[in-house]
Amino acid sequence: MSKISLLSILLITFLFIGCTGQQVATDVPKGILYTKIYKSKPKSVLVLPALNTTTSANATDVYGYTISKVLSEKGYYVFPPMLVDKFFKSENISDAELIRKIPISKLNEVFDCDAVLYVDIKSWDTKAMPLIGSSVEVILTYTLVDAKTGDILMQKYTSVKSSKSMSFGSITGLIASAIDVALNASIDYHTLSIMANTNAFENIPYGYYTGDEYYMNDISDTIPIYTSVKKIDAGKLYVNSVTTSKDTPSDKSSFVISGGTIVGEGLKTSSSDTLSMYNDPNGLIIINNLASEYYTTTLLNGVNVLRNRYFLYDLANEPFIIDHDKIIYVQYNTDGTIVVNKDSDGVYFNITKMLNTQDWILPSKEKSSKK
Amino acid sequence: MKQYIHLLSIIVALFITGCANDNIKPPKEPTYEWCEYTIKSGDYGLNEANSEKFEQYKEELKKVIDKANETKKRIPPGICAEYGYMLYQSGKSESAREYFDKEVLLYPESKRFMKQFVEKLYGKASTTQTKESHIKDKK
Repeated sequence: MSKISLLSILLITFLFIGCTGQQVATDVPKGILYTKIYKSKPKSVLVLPALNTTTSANATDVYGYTISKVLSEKGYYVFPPMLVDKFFKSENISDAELIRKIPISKLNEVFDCDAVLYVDIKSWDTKAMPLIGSSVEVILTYTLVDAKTGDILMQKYTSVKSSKSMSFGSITGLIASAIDVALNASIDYHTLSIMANTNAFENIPYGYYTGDEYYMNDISDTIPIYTSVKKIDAGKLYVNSVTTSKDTPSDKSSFVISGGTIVGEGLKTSSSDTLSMYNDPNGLIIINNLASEYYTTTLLNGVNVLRNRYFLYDLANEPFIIDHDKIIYVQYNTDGTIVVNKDSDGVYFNITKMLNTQDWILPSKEKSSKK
Repeated sequence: MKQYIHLLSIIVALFITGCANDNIKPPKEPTYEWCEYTIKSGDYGLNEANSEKFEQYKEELKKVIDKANETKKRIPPGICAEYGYMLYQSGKSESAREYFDKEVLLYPESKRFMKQFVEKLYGKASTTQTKESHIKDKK
C-alpha cells in the first residue's frame, strides 16, 4: 500500500509540474538553436581528452570516454577514443593540455575530421553539507568546433549535481529518458558525466548515421524554450534578477535570462540521492553560487575564447536570446563581454536588434554529399 | 484499497489527457546496440593494467559486434577499431587487422586515421596498397 501511494504521489507531482511547465515555454525550431550545425553538417567528430581545470587530479581519466556513445547515437561518427588516446601517446603528446594546444587545422589534416569536440571540466567536487548529507557536482563545458573553419558550431554548459539527503525532491522534466544508467546505483562521477553528456547533446541535430528518415529532417522540430525576460522597454531588455550568495562578486549584478528546457530538477533516483541538472543556454536557472560565472572561457587554437553562457550565438557570432517569438540581440564589448546595466526597474541589456523567429532564415535542408 | 487505486487511476488518466500534446513525436529508436559498452570501457580505461578488466572489455566489444550482427544493425562507431586493438594486444595481430579494415569499411570517415594507426602497429609497408588513395585524400 505505501509503495503504491508513494509511486502515485511521484507520478502526479511529475505530471502536474509537466503541465504547468508547458505554459511558459515557447517552441523554437532546432534550425534557430543549431543553425551552424545544420549549415556545416559535420559527419565525424574528434573528441579530445577532457581538459581538467579543477584540482581533482583524476577527473580527466574518470570522465574518460563517456561521450562516445551519446554522440554516436545522434548519428555522428566518433573517432574511437581509446585509439585516439594511444595515437597521441605514440606521438609523445599525452597531456590533455598539450593536446588542446594542437591547432585545429593540424587535427583536421591528421584525422580528416569534420568537427572537434573540446570538453572542459569546470567543476568536479564533493561537498559535505552538515546535517543534510553531501553533494557531488560535475560542471562541464562542451565546445563543438568546425575543423575546417575553426568556427564554434555550438557551446553548452551543463551542471549535474547529486545530493545525498533524506529530503524528498520534486520531480520535473526528463525522467532519465535517454540515460542508460541504473537509477538505483549509487551516483558517482562516471554516472554524472554520462548524464551531463546526455543532457548537453540531447537536442543536437540528427547526424548522417541516423539514416534518411532523421538526418536533416529535424530542422523544424521544436524545443521548448523558457524565458525570464521581465519586460522590453525603450531599447532596454529587463530580466529577472535573483538573489545570489556571498561568492558572487559585488560589482556584478546577477540575472537570469532566457533559457530552455529544465532538463531535470530534483530527479529522485534512490532513497537518498537527488539529482538536479541544468544546461545553458537551454536552462533558465542560476543556482546561487554559480551566478558569478556568466562567461565560459575555452582555449581554442591557442586563444581564450570568451562566451556568455546564457546567450546563443548566430552565424556571425553575435549574441542573442530568445523570448517568446522574438530574437533579441544585445550590445557587447570587443572582448566578448555583454553590456549589463541596472536602473530602478532592475537589470537590463541594451537591445541592438530584434527579429521575429519566423523571419529567421533556416539553413537549407540539403544533405551532405558523400565524400 | 481497491477503491483508492481506482480513484487514483482516474486522476492520473485526467492528468495525462490534460497534458497530451500532438506535437510530441515518439522518441527515436536507439541507433545502435551498445550492451554495457560505456560502463566496461570506463572500467577498463581506469584499470588498463588489470588483465581481468582487459578481458571483460574485450568480451564486451565482441558482444556489441555480435549483437549488431544479430539485430542486423550497424556496428557502432569505433567498436571494430577498439576490438581490433584489443585483439592486437592479445597477440592476434592478423585477426586484429580484419577489424581495423572493417571499421574503415563501415565508416569511411575513419580512413585516414585508421591508416596511420595501422602503420604505427604494423609498419609503413603494411599499407602500401592503399597509399595512392591516401594521397588522393590529402588533396
